[in-house]
Amino acid sequence: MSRYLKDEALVLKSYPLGESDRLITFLSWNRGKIVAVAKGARKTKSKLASGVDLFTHGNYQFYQGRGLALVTGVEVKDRFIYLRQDPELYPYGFYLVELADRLVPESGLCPEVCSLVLEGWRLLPEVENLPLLIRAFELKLLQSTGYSPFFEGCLQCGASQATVFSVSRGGLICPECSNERGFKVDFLLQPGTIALARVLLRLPLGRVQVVRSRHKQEQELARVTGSFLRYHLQIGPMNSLKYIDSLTR
Amino acid sequence: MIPQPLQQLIEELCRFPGVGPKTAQRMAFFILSRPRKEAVSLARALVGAKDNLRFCTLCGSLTEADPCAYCTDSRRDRHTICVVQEARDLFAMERTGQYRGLYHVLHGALSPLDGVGPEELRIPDLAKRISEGQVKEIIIATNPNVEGEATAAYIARLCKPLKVKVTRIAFGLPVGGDLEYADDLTLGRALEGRQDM
Repeated sequence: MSRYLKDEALVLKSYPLGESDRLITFLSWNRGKIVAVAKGARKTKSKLASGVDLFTHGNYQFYQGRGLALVTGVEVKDRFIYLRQDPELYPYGFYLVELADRLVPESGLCPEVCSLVLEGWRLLPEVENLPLLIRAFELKLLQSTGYSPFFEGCLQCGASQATVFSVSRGGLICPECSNERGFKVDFLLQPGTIALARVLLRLPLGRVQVVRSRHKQEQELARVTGSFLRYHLQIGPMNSLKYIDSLTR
Repeated sequence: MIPQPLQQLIEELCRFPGVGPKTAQRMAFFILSRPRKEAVSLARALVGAKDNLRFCTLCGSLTEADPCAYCTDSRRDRHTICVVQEARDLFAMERTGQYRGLYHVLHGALSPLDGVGPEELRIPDLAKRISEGQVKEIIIATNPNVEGEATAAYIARLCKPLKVKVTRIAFGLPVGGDLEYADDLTLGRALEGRQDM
């Protein structure tokens, strides 16, 4: 097996390492997460430095030795400069990264997630309603990793009038099933919120701009997805979300 | 069997960034090979630096006396503040010998992933210094990476209503480098920041 690897990837995380190196976490199309060292990337004359910065999409070459892989080459495809220049978009860009990083297992393949994060970064400066894009991203990410919450009807009997969301069951439950089986009622959702969740799950992320929603529905959906992520994936409060909250307070 | 004092020295040296057990062992043997007074001098320097250095309450740089020598130096231009990420960046700026204004050390950069927001940095202190009215220009010298640039953008936005001139240090090619090896972003920034000759 060749020790030289090539893959299309996104830079998820980048931390200083040692004297002048960087430890990079990539999300790659064909190999999932790759943690690699970019030697000398903090030096001003480094050829790798700008290619391993956060919010970068490119074709990367790695050398897989006995220890951590080394980044040996980079061909940048896109840099998403606006994410670093706009203080409002910046934390949202990170939220997409943090959520994808937590949802994708260390050794899992995730080409759909790569495409989703890339699409998310592209859409951030284009959409007017950032929180709605974030809700759509959360739902699409859950869908592409196989954890999609069920909003199409009652999980038990299929009744379309279900309005009770059970986090532990992972979807909607009609009042009858909820009473009969004693499921815990976590959220009593407005019909508009359910319709919004269905639309966001069905539409491609790029079409989120055509969706019209009310602030209250978005907030309700945010509470549902937040609880869902906490319960099913043990994803606690996220740093980037706290950052966004602190800026909007 | 390694003697306990040597083992302890190796373990302590291992705490330094970039120092693994082998390097620590080499350093420990080097220290042991030198005269006693050199070891004592090293130990005194370590304790002395830890005990006698603090952060300046005005600019956040490392200093023995508070306020620091930069903040109390009457020859420095008090209308200009250069904002840097870390105290070591301040020393890098000083090495240029071309800047004679004041400094403001942020002690980091905005990083949502690490939970570092404006409140965790010394950004409110900077706003307070600007609002005192003496400052006319803010030079932002944060690192040219995502966190550094986002921090610069945040400070620039913060300073806008405070009616001060905000500038960013130029981006471009490193002295001595070959143009053909420059990456497209650096070269693009160098073109943007070109100067009349």
